[in-house]
Amino acid sequence: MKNHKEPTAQLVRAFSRHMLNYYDLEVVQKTDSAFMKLLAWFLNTIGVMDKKAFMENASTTIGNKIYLPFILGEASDKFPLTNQVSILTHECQHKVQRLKDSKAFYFRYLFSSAKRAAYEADAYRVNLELYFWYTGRLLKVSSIAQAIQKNYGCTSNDAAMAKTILERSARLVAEGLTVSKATKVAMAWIRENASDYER
Amino acid sequence: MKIILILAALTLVACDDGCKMNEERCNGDVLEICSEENDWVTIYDCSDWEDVETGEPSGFVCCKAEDLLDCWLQEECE
Repeated sequence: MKNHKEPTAQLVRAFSRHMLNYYDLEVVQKTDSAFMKLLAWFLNTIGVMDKKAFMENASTTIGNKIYLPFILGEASDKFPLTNQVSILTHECQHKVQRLKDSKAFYFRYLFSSAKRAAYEADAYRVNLELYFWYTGRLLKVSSIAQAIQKNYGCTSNDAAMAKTILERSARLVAEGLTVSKATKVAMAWIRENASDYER
Repeated sequence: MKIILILAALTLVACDDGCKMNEERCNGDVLEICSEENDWVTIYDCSDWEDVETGEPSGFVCCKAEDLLDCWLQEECE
C-alpha cells in the first residue's frame, strides 16, 4: 500500500544527473561490463556473493562508476522508480565512504566481512532515511540485517552488529533526524526540484 | 634481543587496538561498536546529525547519559 507519490521517469533521470554530477560518478550498465562479469566470478569464488545475484540484483560502485542492473528512469517490477532513487543514493553513500576511508575502503570491504557489514549498514541507513521521508514508515531493520548476511557473505555476528547500527539509526530517523551525507544531498535536491514528491 | 623487544612492542600495540565484541565507545564525536573481528567500526558520527526539516546541525556530541553511550546534547552529558 502506498501513500506517497511515485516519481516520474523524468524526475528520476533529473535526480540521477544531479547525484552523479555531485559525486562525480557515471553509470555503466552491469551487463555491458566485462569487469563486472569478472568481479562476479571473483566474489562468487571467495564466498561474498552469488554470481547471478550480483549481476542481476546488485548495484555496485567502484571508483567513479556505478554499475547498475537496470536503466535509470525505466521502471520494472524488480526496480520501480522509487527504488531507483534509493538505490542510487545508497550507491552514492558508498562513494562517501570511499572518500572518507580512501583506498583502504576497497581492502576492508572485500576482505573483512565485519567491515563490509558496517559499510552496508551505513549505506542502508540511506534507504531507511529516504523511505521514512517519503512514506512516514520505517523499513524493517531485521530484514535488512538478514539481507546483509545473506547477500554480502557476512556472518551472523556481522549481521547482529549491522542490526545494532540500523536500530540506532531507525530511532534517529523516527525522530526526524538524518545522518547520511548522500541522503542530505538527495533530500536537498528533491526539496528544491520536486517538493510534491516529499511526504 | 632487539627482535624480541620489537615483537613485544608490536604485540602490545596490537593488544591495545583490540576490543570486546559489541562493546561501544565514543571516539571523539564518533560512536563506535566493536566488531566480531575485534576492531572498531562506526555506528554514526554525532556531528553528522542534522534536523530533517531545517537542515540545521543539531549540536549533538558523543557521551554517556541515561546509562547509554550515544549522541546527546552537551548539557545532557554526565
